Amino acid sequence: MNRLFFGVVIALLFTFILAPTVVIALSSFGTSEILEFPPQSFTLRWYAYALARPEFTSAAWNSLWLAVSSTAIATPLAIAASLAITRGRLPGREVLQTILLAPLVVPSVVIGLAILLASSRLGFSSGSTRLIAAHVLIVLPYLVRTTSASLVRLDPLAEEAARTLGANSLRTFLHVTLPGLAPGLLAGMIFGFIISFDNVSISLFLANARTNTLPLSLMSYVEYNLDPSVAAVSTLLILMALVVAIALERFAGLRKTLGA
Amino acid sequence: MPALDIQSVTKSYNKLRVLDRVSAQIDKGELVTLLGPSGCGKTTLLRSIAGLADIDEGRIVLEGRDVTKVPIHKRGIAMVFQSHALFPHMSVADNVAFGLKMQGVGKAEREDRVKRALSLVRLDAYLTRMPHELSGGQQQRVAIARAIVTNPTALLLDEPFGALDRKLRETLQVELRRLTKELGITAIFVTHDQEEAVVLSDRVAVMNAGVIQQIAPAVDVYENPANEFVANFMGFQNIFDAKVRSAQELAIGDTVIATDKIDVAPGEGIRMAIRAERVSITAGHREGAIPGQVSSSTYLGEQNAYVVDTADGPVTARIPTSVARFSMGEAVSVSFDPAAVRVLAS
Amino acid sequence: MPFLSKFSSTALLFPTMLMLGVVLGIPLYYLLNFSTLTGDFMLQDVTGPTISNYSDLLTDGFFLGIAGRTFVISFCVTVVALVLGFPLASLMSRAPAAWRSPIAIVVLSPLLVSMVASSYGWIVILGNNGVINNALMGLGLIRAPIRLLYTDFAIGVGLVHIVLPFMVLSLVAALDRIEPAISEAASTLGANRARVWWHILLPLCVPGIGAGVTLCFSLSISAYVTPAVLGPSGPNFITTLIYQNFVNLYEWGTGSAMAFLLLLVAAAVVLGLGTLTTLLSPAQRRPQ
Repeated sequence: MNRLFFGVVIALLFTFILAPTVVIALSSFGTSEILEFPPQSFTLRWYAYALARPEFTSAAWNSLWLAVSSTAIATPLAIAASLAITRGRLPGREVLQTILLAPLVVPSVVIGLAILLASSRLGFSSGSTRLIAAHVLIVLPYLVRTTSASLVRLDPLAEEAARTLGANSLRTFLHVTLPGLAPGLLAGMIFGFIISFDNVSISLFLANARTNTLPLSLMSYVEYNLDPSVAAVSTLLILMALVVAIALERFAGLRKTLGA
Repeated sequence: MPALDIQSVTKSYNKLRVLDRVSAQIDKGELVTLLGPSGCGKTTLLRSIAGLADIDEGRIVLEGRDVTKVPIHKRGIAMVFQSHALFPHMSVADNVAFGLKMQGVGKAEREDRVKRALSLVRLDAYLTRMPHELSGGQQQRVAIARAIVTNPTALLLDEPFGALDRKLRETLQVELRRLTKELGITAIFVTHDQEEAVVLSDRVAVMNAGVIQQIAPAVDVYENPANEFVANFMGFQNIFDAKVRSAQELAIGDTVIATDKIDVAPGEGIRMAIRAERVSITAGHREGAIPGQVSSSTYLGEQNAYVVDTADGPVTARIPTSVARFSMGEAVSVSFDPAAVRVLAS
Repeated sequence: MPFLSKFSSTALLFPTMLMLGVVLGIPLYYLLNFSTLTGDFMLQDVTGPTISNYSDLLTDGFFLGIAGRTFVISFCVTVVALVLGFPLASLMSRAPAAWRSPIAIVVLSPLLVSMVASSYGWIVILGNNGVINNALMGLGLIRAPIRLLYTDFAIGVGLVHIVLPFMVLSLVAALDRIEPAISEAASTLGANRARVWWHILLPLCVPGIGAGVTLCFSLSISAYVTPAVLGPSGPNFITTLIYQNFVNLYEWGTGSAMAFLLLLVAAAVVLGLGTLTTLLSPAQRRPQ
């Protein structure tokens, strides 16, 4: 009886969690001009339609470029900073750690807005630079978290052993430390990528017509149309998330990456 | 009526039988240890008695009540875990009071019984302490007090002293034995340490591969192992193939040795065992002894442990250093104390 | 490199700290700066510094109404997430190993799926012609569709969906720190499942509950996409109000003040709930 009750609760919760994604994915195949569920008949035409619309495709490229470059910039910064706080002997380590994770506490609407104000006041409004900088900022804490968590888990004795065997600190880092933290780092990079790719609240203030991102263009498209092409794009985003979820689970464990 | 009657209990994990038709009867007030290597099923058996593991077949009867299907919290048992498992957010007194609270015992009586239980483990001065403020030994004493305060039908202990250092372990073994005897508690104690089992228990059940190999008073298990596994596990270093020559003679290879009375028909092949302490070594060749060469010698303080290579395999002997010393490579003969030779059931 | 010298750790930390200073520190300074200016920002005819933006906001019924609504919705979202989080967390912490990966992927999926995509899913589910209304009408329970979409309820549903994984992660972390033998000990001492939860697991989960509540509440009050897509039209949440002040009204001073207040509240929530959790955490409690 207790088990049955628990099972029913879990089934309901899983339905709740999966409902929006399953519903949007299924309705992307509907033939009707407006989003409906369940679809009466099936077609792939909304995918063709969406992939032929430049506002979606160019926005998708922008998002991809933005996510890749901000993660690429944040990664070395995060490795260096994590090494410093886990392996260094700095006073006030806790404070430094808090500062590194600060972008998580500041609401991203506030971050976007503040960067917009500062750059306009300083006469620095080149769209893509400040957008990338802002995305580096929000990706960074996730990378720092996963990387320093991996570093803490790595046995420092292995590094000491490498040193006693004659490796200098660079070779120790390259041959012992880096391979050890690779799974955590990779997981952090993938997660950082998706955080940037899906971000709305910062890009909202900093993107312009040329640097418009995919989630933004989806949002503005929906203000005027609610046809299944939106569902088609959303479904592609869901697929990407699924691939990412499986990759994270394989590399470092989803829970460890997200909950570290 | 036994206090605990385990009837043909069987359990498998993923087709692997961890308990294979295990039966045992334990009397009221008796302390029985389940002894065996890791993976032998001893912990699973204990957890099955507690209700923490379901069993596939068989019955568990506690003081005449079939509890096989009874949920854990209604079995009236109490358990002590290796990790002490004290509730970290409760004081020592609250920890000990927990079981009584669950039974609905009133506050005044509860306080009284908690104090009494804690004084039994000599921790009456620690009522208000938190578990993390105690030493490892004190924590385990609290865990014991928490278990006995409820007057359990059976006290189950899962390697409770495994994490403690040797000296502390020995003290607590003595204390636990005294306590269970004073209170007349039926106790089942899981351990992989044969010394602990021998010191503590009225009876020892040696387990392997999900089967109780022998259940007998500690002395019997130690001196008369029922089979080769028990002999091995109880520390018989020498186990050989032998042939029965007569009621008082065994042949090992070409050597005939004398023994106490054997209940096996002459001509049959058997396995025999003898402890290293009961093997003696003499220099040179001797009738009725197995010739060989000293191949290793280890100084153990009071004794020297020698390995003598013979045509029938290596023989381990422990010779008091005050009696004799042999050097490596020396030609010697080994002989067995007839009273200490054990014939193992196959 | 087991231990880095003070010099090399400083050198390693420097680029990141510089970046944080330039991309976060300086902008926050300007945000504070703008929040003290009043006037016409389109014409760049502004005066300051003054605290009038703040004093106006704190007496402005409309702003306070939106702020209050944001808090109430976020509070409800957090409570619901806490209640729904426990069964999921207990499932995750005791599921057999083979089931863990698929369960984790399902439960944590809202974290990885684009919020825009799942919001559109909620549109299809909650709309007048959506899954729920069609089902209810099909069953004959209602005759006309109930308005679910573009309401505060829709915001709540969307937010619970997004913050639930964070709550679950915090609770699972707390549950996993509790040794299984502890609840087993409680069961052998006569506690049934409910009493094990009430006397043992819940008190020991307090740090996890605190972390989850903090995370969910601060994520809720600063959410933008969900209220923008699923909420009633017009400013319906503090974040959408800030956006409107900037983009539509050009009220940069007022908008900055709102944003700064939001930042303060978010920081206060983190600090306040953190302290509260520490105070309530059982391991910290000492006898008098």
